[in-house]
Amino acid sequence: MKTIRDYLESLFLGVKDSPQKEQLKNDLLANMEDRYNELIEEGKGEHEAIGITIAEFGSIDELLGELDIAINEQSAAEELDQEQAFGIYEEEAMDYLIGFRKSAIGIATGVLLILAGVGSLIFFADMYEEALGMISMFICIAVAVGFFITAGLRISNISKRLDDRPIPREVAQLVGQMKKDFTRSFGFCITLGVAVCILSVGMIFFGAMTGSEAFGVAAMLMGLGFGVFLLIYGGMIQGSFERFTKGKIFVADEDQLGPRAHYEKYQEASPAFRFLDSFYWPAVLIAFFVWGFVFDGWGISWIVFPIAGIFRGGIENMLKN
Amino acid sequence: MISSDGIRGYNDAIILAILSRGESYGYAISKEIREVSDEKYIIKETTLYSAFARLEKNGYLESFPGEVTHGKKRTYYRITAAGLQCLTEKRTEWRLTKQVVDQFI
Repeated sequence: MKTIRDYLESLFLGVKDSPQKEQLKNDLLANMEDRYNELIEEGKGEHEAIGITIAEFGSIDELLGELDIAINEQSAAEELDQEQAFGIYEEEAMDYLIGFRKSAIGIATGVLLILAGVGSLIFFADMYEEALGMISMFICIAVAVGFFITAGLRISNISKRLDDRPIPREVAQLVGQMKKDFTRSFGFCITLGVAVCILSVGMIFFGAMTGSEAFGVAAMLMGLGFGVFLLIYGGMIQGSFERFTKGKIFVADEDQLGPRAHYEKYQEASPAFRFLDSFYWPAVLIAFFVWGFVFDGWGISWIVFPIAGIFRGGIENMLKN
Repeated sequence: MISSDGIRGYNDAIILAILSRGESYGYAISKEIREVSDEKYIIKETTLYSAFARLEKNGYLESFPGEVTHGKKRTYYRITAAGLQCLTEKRTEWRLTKQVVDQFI
């Protein structure tokens, strides 16, 4: 009898406790005991009776499948995992945006440091302090590289977690709202960034007028650093919002689309478009080289890139419709 | 002994038919199936309880805690009006199935 109870108990090991489970287990056990007793009465041996009772029990999976009892707690956890592998949660999106903002500041600071480093080299060299200039430049570059690496790692880290996962509509809406709220800041960053860059170039003339050209160049580089800082910061943050609002699938790296993102991008595209997509840019590059080398058109041949970019958009639209 | 695959589609109807003659509980039903079929069909316990769950979900039978027998409190089952209706349909369907299969085998 104990064998039967243990057997039944073992079958229900993975099943979450619930009154439903207890009732079912009691019913099944009562039936098995009745059957066992009956077999004993018929004159069967103990072991034989247990064997027959268990053989006639059947498959627990069949029963649990019908009963909607959560099969076991572990698989409930697995389901959660799968869910996570699916839609992006709001908090995850926020974590991503915060991480991306930090990285944007890091990268923009790195660029500013490099320009400032070069500026300081020119500035010190003009005062015949080349050694000091070199040291200051290398320190700036080293710190900048540190910023780049940290920012790059952070971005690839946070992107990997979200890569190729669908973006739920609520998340897209939320980020869309944030993007809207950022529009003014974005405009401010870009306008001010461009203005600062233009003013910085003016520093050359200012330097030339005051008779210190090196100072002018150094000041220009410094100014450019600040201008570019604003452009990078604004642009990167704007870009981070667009990753959530552009498509239904999150794409960490446009060149390495996950299976879902690949499907989303190409499902409606004709084979012609897919063919074109894989050959287009290499073909443009070849055209650029041929024009340059064969026809000696280096001065103007770069124009194939903007033209090709505009054309591509048109062709894509045409083929998709 | 017959294969459980062959009879699968009729487990529900057999249980409804037994319950149409009066309320009963798990062991009594499986015993009746075993004895009436002269031990040719022994329904597995899990098959029986899967059928209970399915039939109850569809509203063909209802369960209730029965009186204590042999020191055990069992779940009893009772057929509903919808269950009787379903049984009638199943009977008609089975007659037709039997006729068709007989013509070939």
